[in-house]
Amino acid sequence: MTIVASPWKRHFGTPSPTHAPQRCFRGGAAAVVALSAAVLLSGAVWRDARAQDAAKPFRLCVDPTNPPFSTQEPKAGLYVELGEAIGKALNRSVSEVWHLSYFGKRALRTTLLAGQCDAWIGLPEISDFMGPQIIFSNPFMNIGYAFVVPKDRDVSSLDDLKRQRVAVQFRSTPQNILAERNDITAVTVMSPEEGVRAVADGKADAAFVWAPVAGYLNLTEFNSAYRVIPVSGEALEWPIAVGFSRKQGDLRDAVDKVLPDLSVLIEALKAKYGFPTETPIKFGMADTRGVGKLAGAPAAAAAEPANAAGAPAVDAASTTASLDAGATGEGKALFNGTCAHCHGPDAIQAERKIDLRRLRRKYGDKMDGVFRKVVVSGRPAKGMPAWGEVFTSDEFDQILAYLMTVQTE
Amino acid sequence: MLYEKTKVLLYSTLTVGFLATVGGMAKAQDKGGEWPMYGRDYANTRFSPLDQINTDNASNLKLAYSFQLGSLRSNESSPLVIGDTMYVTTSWGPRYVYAINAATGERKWTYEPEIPEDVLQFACCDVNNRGVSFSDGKIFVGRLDGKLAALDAATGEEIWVADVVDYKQGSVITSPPLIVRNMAIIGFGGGEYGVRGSLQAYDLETGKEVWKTWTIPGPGEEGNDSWKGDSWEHGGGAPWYVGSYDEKTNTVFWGTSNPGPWNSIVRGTADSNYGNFKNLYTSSTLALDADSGKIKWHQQATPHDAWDYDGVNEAVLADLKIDGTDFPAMMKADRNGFFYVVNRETGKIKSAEKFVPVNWADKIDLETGLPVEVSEKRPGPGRPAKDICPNLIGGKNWQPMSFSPQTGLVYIPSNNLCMDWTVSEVAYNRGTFYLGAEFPTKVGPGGHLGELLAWDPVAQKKVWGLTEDLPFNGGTLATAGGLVFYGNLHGVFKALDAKSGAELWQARLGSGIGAGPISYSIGGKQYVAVVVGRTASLPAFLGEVGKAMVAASPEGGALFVFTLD
Repeated sequence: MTIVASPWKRHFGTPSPTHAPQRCFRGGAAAVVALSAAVLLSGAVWRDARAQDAAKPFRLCVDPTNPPFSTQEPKAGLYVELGEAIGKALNRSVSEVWHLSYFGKRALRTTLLAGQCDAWIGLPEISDFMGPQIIFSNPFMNIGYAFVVPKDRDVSSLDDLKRQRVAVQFRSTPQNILAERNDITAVTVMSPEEGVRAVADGKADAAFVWAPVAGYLNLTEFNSAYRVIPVSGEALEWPIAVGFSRKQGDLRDAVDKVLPDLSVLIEALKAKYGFPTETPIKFGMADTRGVGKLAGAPAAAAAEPANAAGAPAVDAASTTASLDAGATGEGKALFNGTCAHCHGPDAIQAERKIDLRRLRRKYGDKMDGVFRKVVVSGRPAKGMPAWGEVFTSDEFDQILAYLMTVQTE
Repeated sequence: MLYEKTKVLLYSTLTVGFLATVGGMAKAQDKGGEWPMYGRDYANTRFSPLDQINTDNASNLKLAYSFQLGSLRSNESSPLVIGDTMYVTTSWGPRYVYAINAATGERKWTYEPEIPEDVLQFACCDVNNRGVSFSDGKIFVGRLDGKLAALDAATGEEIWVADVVDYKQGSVITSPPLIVRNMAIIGFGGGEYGVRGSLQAYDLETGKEVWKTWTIPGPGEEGNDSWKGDSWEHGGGAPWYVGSYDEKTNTVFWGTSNPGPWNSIVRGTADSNYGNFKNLYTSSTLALDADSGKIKWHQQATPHDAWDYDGVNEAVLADLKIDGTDFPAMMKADRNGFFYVVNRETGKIKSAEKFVPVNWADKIDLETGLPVEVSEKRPGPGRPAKDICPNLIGGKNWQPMSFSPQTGLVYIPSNNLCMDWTVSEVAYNRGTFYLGAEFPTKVGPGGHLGELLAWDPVAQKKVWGLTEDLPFNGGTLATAGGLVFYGNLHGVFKALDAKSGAELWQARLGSGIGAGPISYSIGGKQYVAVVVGRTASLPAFLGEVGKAMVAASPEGGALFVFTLD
C-alpha cells in the first residue's frame, strides 16, 4: 500500500516538530566511496555483533497510518519507538513489517499468525481476543476514551455535562452511553479529530472521544488548550500489550522481562505524544443508566443482566470456592436456574466454546480468576451478559464450587 | 390484462416489450434475444421468453465457450447482451469491463478504470460489481471509488465520469444504474459506515446531476422526526442495489439499507416500543417519481431495525391474478424473511408472509404495515437476544430472484440461518484492534443452510424447494422453455424444471456462484451464461458457517456460456 501524503499532515495539519521528514540520500562519487567503506566496515562490525547475539532482526508488525502510534512516512510513533527500545533491550535490530490494522483479526492472521512478524505492539490484552492462538506480554499501558474540555473546565462525571452538547464518535461506547440519557445532546462525529474540532469551532461544549488521537491533536495543533480527561470502565478503556503467536512463548517471556525497565521510557513517550496523564474517571452504573428515562423506553427489567459498562470491581484474588457439599448443592441450583439456559443443564453442553466443563483444560490454575472476571463483567462481544449486579460474591463462589465438580480431565 | 411495457427508451433502436399474466403463456412482442438490463426488464423479472432450450433438451446443454475475467473475489456480474455484443464486468472496481462477441467469446474491447488501492477498507462486504447498463450506444458503469462512468459501447472509451459520492466516507458503488429516458439513476453503499443515503439521476449525455433525493429526510422534512437527535445525519438507508421502473405510472422503485448504528437506542428506543422512532426511510422500498425524484410512497419492512435487515432487495413487478382481478404487484423477498406483495400504485401491502423461518416477528399487520414483533428477539443494550431467525444475511440476500409468468412462480435463492445478537459494536479506533461484536451464526431448522424456493406469490406459499447445504447461493433465471437456472456456492450450475424442481442438467464450474444467470440468442441460437467466483469477505462474519462457505470452493473469476449442439 502506498502512503501518498504524510498521515501526520493529513490528520493534524502540521507534522510533529519533533520528527523531521525522511531525506533522500544526497551525495556524489566521494560519498559513494565513503559509503562503501562504511558499509564494509559496518559489515565487519555487524558480523561481530551478529556472532554475539546470534539473533535475527526483531520483526515488528506496525500500522503505517496510525499516528500517534505508528507511521511509515515519517517513521515515527509511540509503538515504533517502543518497538525499537524493546529490540535494543533484547540486543536485536528491529525491522518493521508495515500492515494496516484496520482489518483487525484478519490482519493478525495473515501477519503475526502466519509468521510474517514476531510481535505486534498494541493488541488489547483481553483473554478472549484471539486466544489461545495469540498470547500477550504484560500490559504496558491503557488506552481508551476521554473527555475533552476547555482548560478552565472541570469534569468529574457525565452529570457535569448535563444540558450540554457533547461530541461522540459514531458507533462508539460514548455514543451508546449518551444515547441512554436524555439530558445531554449528542453531536455525532466520524472521528476523534472531528470531535475535538467541534469543540474548537463551538459546535460542541465538550467531546467524549478516543483519547490518544485527541491528546495528540491537542498537543500539536491546539497548543494544549484543552484538558483531556481519560475515563475507565467496560468498553471504555483497554489494557494494551504486545501480542505474539502462541508459538513465540520464549520471545514473549523475554519481552516481559525487559518491559519493566522501559516503564520510564513509556511514560516519556506518552508525554511526548500528548497522551492524557490525569487519573482516569471511573465509570459506574450511575453514569450509564442515569437521570432521565427516555420517553417510551421501559425501565430495564429487574431480571435482566446488568449492563456490562459499570460492573463493580471484584477482587480477583478472592478465596477459592470451597468444595463442601453445601456450596456445590447451592451452586448447582444457581447454575441450573440461570447459567444452564445457555451453558446447558448440569453444564452438559455440546458446543465447545461454551462448554464450562472444559474450563480447567483451557485455563489451568487461572480458571478461578478467569471465571470471576467473566461472570462479573461478561463478554459482551460473545453474548455473555455481565452478572456482577445480579449475584453476590458468595453466589459466584457456590457456582464455581459446583463447576469444579464437573470438570473433564 | 395488464400490459407490462419494458422499453429501452430514448434514442435506442430497440423496443422490447412483453405481456405478463399469471397462468398464461408469455407473448413475446420483442426480439427476446437480448438481455438489455440487469434484470432483463424494468420489472426485474429475469424471465427470458426464449424456449429453444427447454425441458426436453436441457440435458444436452454443453459449453459454448468460457472467458476468464482476470479478477478474483466476489464476481457478481449479470452480463448484458445488446445485438451480438455481451458486456460483462469483474470484481475489484470493476477491475475490467469487457465487451465480447456473445456467440464466440472473442474479446472486442476492455475498459480498465483506475480504481484506488485503498477502496478495500471502504467496501464492507467485498469488492464486487454487478454489471453495467446500456442506452443509446453508451455503457454506464458504477465504480467502487464512488464514480459513474459513461463509455462508448463500441470502443470502451470513457465519455464522461461523474463523482457520485466520496468513497472515503465508506460509500462504494457496486450495482448498475437504472436508465430511464435521458437519465441514469444510481445509489451507493455505506450504511455500515454512517453515511446518509441518497439516490441521484445523471443526464446520459453530459453526466450532470439532474436530481438527488436523500433517503433520510432532513430537518423540517416529513419523517425527519422519526430519528432521535442528530442520528439522521449518519442514519444509513443506502440504496446500494438495483431499482425497478413502472412506465405506466412513471415510478422508480428502490430499496434502502438498514439504519446505523446497530445500537438502536442511539436513534430511538432500546425496545419494541419505538413509537415514532421508525428511522425513515431505512429498510424500506421507496417509490419515486422518475422525473423529479420525489418520493411518492414508501413501505418500510423493518421499522427501527435492530437486526441489520437491509431493505435493498429488488422489487419485482408483475400483474398477479388475485381474487379474479389483475393486481398491480410489487413483489419483494425481504431480508427480514417476509415475502411482500404490495400494490405498486398505492403502496398498500396486499399480503406479507414468511418465506423462511422467522421468529423476530409473528406477522405483518396489514392495516398498519408494521411487524408485530416478538420482544425478546429484539436485542438491546445489555440485553442480547439469542436464536433470532433469519440472521443478518437475511432470508434472501442480493442474489436476484426471478418470476415466470408461465408458471406464476417466483424463484427465490433463500437462506436458512439464525443468529445470536449482542449490542456491543465498537468502531475502529487507532492504536488497537477492532473489537467489534461477533454474531454467532446458527443453522436454521432443518439443517440445510439454503434453499431454492419456488414460491406462489398469490397463495403466498412454497410450491417446491430444493435444499442446499450452504447459504448464499446464486440468483435465478426463469425461461419460457420451462426452465429455472441457478448456481450454488459449490460452483455447481443447474437447470431445473420450473414446474416441479426436477434437476435436468448440471455443470461443475469450479468456484461458488452468486451472480444471476442470463439467456440470449444470436443468429437463432439460444445461449445461457453465468459468471462464477465466490465471495471472500462475507464469510468472516459467519463463524463456522463462514468457514464452510470458504471451504466449498476456491476463489474464481470466469464467465461460462452454454448452448445446445
